[in-house]
Amino acid sequence: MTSHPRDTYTNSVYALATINKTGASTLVVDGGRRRCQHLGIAAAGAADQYAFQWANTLVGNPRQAPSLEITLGPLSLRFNSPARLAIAGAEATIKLNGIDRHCWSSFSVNAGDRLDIGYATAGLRYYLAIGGGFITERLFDSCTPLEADGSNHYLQAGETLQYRSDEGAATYKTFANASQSANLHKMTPWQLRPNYAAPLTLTLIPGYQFKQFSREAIRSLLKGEYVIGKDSNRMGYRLEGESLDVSSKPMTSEGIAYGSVQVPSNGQPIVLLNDRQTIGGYPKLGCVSARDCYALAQCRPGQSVRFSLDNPLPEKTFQSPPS
Amino acid sequence: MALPEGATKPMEIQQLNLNTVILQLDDDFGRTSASVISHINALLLEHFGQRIINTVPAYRSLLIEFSLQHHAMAASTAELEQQVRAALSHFQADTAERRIVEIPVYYHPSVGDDLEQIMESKNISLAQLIELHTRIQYQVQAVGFIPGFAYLGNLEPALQVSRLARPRATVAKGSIAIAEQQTAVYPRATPGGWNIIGRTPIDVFHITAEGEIAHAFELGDTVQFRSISEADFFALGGRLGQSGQNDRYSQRDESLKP
Repeated sequence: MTSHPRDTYTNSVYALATINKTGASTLVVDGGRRRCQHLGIAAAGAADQYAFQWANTLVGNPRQAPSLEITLGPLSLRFNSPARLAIAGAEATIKLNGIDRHCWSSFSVNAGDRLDIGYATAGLRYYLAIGGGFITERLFDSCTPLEADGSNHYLQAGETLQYRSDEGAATYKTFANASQSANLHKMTPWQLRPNYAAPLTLTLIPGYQFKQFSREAIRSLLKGEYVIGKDSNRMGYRLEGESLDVSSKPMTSEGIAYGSVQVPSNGQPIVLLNDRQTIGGYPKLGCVSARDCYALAQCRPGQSVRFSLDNPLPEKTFQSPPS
Repeated sequence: MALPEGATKPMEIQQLNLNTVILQLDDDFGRTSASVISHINALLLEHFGQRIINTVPAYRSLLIEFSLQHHAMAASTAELEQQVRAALSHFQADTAERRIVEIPVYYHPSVGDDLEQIMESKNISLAQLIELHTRIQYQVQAVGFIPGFAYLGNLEPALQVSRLARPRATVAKGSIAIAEQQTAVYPRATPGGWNIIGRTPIDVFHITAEGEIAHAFELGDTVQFRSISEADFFALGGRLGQSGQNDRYSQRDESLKP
């Protein structure tokens, strides 16, 4: 077992999780950065807030506690101290020391345990929350580290993550009584787990530039299916389908809201997500509602989506897990 | 100056999604727009505090994202309009605080791929081109595209050229570029379609290990370019070729991003 870094004043111990293996895009995430976009830095944050907040809820964390977002996978971690974990989001095989664990539920790990999560098989991103949250430096009021050039820092094999050891997690595991056991092994009710294979319709909230698009363009948008292009990522989802007629009027660049649907000159819409560029000058139809953006972020290239028009604002509900 | 003459409706506020609005200034503000937006931005951040998550000031607009935890959009919008009107009535163009950022530039064909072509098409010498680019102070009109990329305006009409028909796959870090009415510094190596006329040896944007941001441009800043010799360029850490500058900070492979 590796030694613990110690804070000499409080004698508190940070436990460590070591990344043995990771895919190309594993991030520490939370609700996103604040007061950074005026510098051109993306707000980032968990792309699917629904699954992310569920993962935290399952381990009793505040909803926005620092967790891991793993896109596609795989991920392999070793823990040097006890902890409670929960995984929510995309389906993947989860093995703790070679024994199956399940998505949308919490479980305990002991010192020396090894967690292996495979490639996502339905959905694209899964979230790993840990009791108390991962302990990180904070920048712009967020846990997501930045590279020197202002882009997100993606985790690599060999890096370690700090957390607070939860001795209780190990004890309860061994001497569980009924109430402790129920508290330790929470599950998201099946009715509340998304079906990532189901067809997705994106609710569009028309923006002030909506009227610049012709009736034909709007008809085209609502008529057909759009296939998610392969260059889709946390910056934006590129959709391929009916080409939309765009007015050629040049526009002054302006700030871009989360979920904005911009239409460049090729007429193919792009839905802009967490790592979008902060400003842009392409015409925008409006914004996709937040909850549909979360669902979209779980879609893979090749899946198709449709659009429907929302009534004018305000949006009716904001989907988040129960507290 | 409070409001331009005849500006009865100085701005519009549009809601974009559940918690985001955009404020747009009337065209009448002209070249003072960036200063006015910068002024409004500062006052709103102070007034709303934690209720504002992020703002994006650019040219003549200001995007404002409110916190969902403090969500009461209708009330915020009314309050917002009131605050903006108050900010506008206080605005004084002359007294607006401005930071001046000086950027040393090595203007030379070895680091300015489009320099000779521009000199030829405009029928000017290198000295004349440098004079045209350095004799005026520019204003940061917007920041975006990539972190730390500032849109600076306005270029002398005699130096204005259109964007490249085919953007380059890579523009070196530190490149000084021009396109239409604007000029800019590329804060890192990236694909780009602007015309490259020189290179600065200094880092215009980086985040240190301690989390400090160095040399970031902000809306309303004033930028002054200064011509330097080849010797000074190297002395300040400049490099030829695609690397642009001494790479003091590790660069990660961006192609691996999702």
